[in-house]
Amino acid sequence: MTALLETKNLSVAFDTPGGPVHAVQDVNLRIDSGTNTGLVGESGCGKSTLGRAILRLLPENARISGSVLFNGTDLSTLSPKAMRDLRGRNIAMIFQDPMTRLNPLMRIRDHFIETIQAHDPRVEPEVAVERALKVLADVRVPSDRMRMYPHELSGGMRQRIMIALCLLFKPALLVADEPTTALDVILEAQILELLQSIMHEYEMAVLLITHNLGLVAEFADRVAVMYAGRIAEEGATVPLFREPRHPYTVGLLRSVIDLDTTKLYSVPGSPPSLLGESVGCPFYPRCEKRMDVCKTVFPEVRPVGEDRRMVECHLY
Amino acid sequence: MSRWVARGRTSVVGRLIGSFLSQSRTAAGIVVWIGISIVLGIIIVAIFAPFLAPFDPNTKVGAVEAPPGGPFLMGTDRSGQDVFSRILYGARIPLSIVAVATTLSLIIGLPLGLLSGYAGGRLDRALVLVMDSIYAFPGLLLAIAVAAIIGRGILNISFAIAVVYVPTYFRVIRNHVSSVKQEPYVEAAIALGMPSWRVIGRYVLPNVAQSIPVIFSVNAADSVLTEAGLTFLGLGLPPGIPDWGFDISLSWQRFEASWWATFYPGLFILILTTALTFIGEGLNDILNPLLRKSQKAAVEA
Amino acid sequence: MSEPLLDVRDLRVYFSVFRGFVQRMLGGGDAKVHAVDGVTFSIEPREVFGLVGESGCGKTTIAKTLVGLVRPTSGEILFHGKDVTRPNKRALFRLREEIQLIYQDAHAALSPAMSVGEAVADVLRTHGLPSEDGDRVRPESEEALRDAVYSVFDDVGLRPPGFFYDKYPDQLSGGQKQRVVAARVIALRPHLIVADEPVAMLDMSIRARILEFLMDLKARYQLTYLFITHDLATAKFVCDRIAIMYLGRIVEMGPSRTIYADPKHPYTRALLQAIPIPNPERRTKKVLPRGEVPNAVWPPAGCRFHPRCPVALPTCGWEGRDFIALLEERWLSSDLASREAAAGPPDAWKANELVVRRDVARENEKGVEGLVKEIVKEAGGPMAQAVYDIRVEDAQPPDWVAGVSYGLVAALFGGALWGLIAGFGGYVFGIVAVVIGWTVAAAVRRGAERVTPGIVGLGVVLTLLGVFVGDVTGLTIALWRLGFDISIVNVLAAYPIIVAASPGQAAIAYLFGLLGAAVAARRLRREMKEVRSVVVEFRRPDPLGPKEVEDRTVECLLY
Repeated sequence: MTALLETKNLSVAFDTPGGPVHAVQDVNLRIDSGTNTGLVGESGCGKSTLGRAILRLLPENARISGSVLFNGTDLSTLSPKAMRDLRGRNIAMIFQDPMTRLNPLMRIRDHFIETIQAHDPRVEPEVAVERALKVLADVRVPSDRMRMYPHELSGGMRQRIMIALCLLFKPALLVADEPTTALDVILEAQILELLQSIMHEYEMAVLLITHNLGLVAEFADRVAVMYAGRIAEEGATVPLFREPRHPYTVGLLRSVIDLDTTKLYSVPGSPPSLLGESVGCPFYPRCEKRMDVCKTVFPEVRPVGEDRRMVECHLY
Repeated sequence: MSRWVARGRTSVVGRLIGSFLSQSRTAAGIVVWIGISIVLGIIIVAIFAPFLAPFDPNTKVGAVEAPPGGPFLMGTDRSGQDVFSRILYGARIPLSIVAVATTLSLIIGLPLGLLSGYAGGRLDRALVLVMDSIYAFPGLLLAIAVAAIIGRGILNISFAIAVVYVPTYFRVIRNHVSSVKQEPYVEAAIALGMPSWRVIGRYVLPNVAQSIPVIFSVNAADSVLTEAGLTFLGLGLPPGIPDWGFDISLSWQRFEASWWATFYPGLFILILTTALTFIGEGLNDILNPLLRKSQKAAVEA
Repeated sequence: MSEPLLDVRDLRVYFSVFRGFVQRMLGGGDAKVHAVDGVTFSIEPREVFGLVGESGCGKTTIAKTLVGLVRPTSGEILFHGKDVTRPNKRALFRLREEIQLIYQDAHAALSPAMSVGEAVADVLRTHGLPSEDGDRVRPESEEALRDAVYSVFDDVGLRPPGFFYDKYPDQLSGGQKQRVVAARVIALRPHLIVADEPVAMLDMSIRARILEFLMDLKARYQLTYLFITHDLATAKFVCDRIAIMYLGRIVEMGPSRTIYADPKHPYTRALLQAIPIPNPERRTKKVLPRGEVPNAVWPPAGCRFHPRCPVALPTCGWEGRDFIALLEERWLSSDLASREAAAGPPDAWKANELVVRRDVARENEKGVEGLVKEIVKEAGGPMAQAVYDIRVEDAQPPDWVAGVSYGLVAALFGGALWGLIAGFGGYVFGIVAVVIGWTVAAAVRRGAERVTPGIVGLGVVLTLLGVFVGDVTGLTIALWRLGFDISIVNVLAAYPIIVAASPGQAAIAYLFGLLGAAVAARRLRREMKEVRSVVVEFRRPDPLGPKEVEDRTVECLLY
């Protein structure tokens, strides 16, 4: 079975006046259709960049190397027009802040009409509106919101509309970049529930990018933990949480404050700068279990256990 | 109190200069350096004119309307005066007027902009109305009007020109202050019990300071032209003092016969304006992206 | 029984919403955001009191009010027993030495143009250095000031202090910046620190560090904290007592441990359930409240949470707006929407507190009434039980003054138009006013929500204006036709003379205008007789207030 999406040695570096910033390094990620994958990491670990690299939505000073295969096709071989077509039709993305992603000067129904006609110019506005209404019902937004402007709607409503816009073409993959970070906890739970129900109905795979481990635990089938641009550990959710292998994952899970926390823990030190070249494991200065070899040699990706569990650490 | 305000400012000035120097190899930096060199060159020439000029600019020293050549590097005008010497001496007036005028408009416009942006409300609306009305006037016309009222003299022209540029300072500073006022650090300063003058001087002003050098240079460039326009029209200066604009007014009707008497003053006006513009635009390219970058760094941190 | 450090009693903070002139006249006055709507709590010395809630619940407003950045609308704030609700400038300055605020976004709270050392030094310069006996002294020299800053930096863990003094905010990490913000505040030796989401913007792996740091400061400086957050998990760990806020009110308040073990208020329970647990083996089915936090300008009646509450009672505050929300939710399904179209669309219904009505033509009234009764019965639930009556009655007396004013805007144009076409004087336009007026009035009569003196005044002014324009235009045209080559400006200038010359005619013209408008309004009223209203009326909700239940206070009718 071919994977829906597969990245091979994907790296993204940004050209900055101070030198190259290696936001993403050597990432091999695989997403199967209809599955939920969580991409977890703290700020600056490169998860957003990775999400955008998949859709090729990176700024001009980004240098991509490695490949991204969607249903077997290497995305770098596509023309800009073909890529645009793919974006929105087959792979869709929702972002963190729904307010700034909707055009404040356009009514909601115009957003829908425009999106549909961008991919399919022959569609009549009335037909487009019909399709829009159907999708809106799926995301539980009343139809009278169609004639409103974005600023007249609440945050949760806007996020649902963003999701609806993505669903128009039944994409095979939805990349959600911190979709609930700006929302309150009850709203967050509602949106996530919505995503779950839509996933089943639309047979869609979801890549959930977030820093919230709780969300990933509740929602994802598989988890990839990112640190300093690399994937430190990856695997099915339940075994990974039950028995984390990479010291960073261990530290991260320990430092989460939830309702059962009795003692506070934080990982010492701070994330490394991604500027310039680096040697050795990026987690070395903060790792409790570090060894001498970790300082100079990049750890290889090693499988541990079954179900495609991978760790990038010298301990294994 | 002024000491504290100054300390806030000098450290900002220090950082601005520092960041400018660190960017001096870039295209924008080179442009600024070119501009600075030219302006400095002209200043030096103006100061040392008595030593550099071969002739006295106000006496007839040769044939009327002699073409460039021989002892007259740039020929003579229709009174037989050496154009080159007049160019050298003629740099003094524009430079001094522009310097005084732009400084004056800074001194007037900056505090008004700060006050208006910070206070808001009716005072702000009234001041903006006044400033916008002044701004709506074509610069040269306004300067002429003011000069006509207050009379001749270098200081008077400087003042007339200063009035034209006060609104630019005011607007930019006021808008910047309005947006900075909303920033959490200003609110934090108020919550910490800082009196208003302190908040404005130490928390608001340093953060709007980076707009100032740019407006300063751009205004200076524009005021060179305004000054030339005023003296060309014969306003403001006692006759006889060499000045580029004035010289053009003397010779432009004789352009076919002695193009050099008109051309060279015009050329130098152009050079000075362009050099000042280089400084302004280059600084703009350097200083504003830095502001944006430090904001972005904050977001990513 | 020691005195509480901070005592807040029935605090209300309302903000005015800016509305345009016309909107204000038609909608009746200024709308207010009820950010804090009657909050009462007290904080004991040395405790960590948590204020927990989602965004918009008012917790940040309370924080800003306590440090004097926002003025309360009503209520009392007592600090150390003294009333500090509306301090004057001097008192505010002193108060800021005792109550301080730590910000959520540490980077934004620091001026980018100032080194962090300077930022702290500035505070000490303004307030003076704290001395042993609690007084403040002017720093004697720059060195003394610098030393004071160094010692504060040392206290907050920014070591070596000399290294950090000259750093600018963009050169520090998130955790370091938060320490600087804390340093700036600690330098004043306050008694109460309001911490507004101090760790929300920090990564999880360093949150613990900053929380420990804050607790450490508390121990060392005998501080009291008001800890504001939306993260229940952090609040549970850090706080001794917490108050849960929703839309400007406290819904549950008590010792932290027991609230988490046994949450009483449905909102508290919902919040706790919604928190994602980082343990995939404990995925539970969640019962989430419907919808989102509503607008704070028109908070729901009774218990503010009732429209979303999964266990609401019929007496919790159901009102007209909730019925409209029900219709909206029902008609998300398109076949229900088409089957019940006669009762829709949702914006045909107008809610006015406990009553909601929809205009219906006389011949359809029975059908629609029946349909509405069906819908309510089928929907069931506490809201259906809260419905007192469903009936049909005469439509509301028409907003005829509004009708007049709108009709006369039409008259304005009508008069000018008529003058243009016929060249007659303005008094004929009264007839035009009738024709055009009632059409427009019928169309826009929904525009005004309430009759206010403003509308009456507007109506009169517009009438007179309409006559005036019509008259001037008519005269001008008439004169042109007679061959006079004059402009409308001349006629305007000469108008007073013309009126004085024939006051009777002018009077007739203006009176005709007013008459035309009145006729339009009567026509409107008669038309309204053909229109009836289907009305749904709700029962009065039970009064609601905080109640002592076991070891805490809860505001809920379930108890």
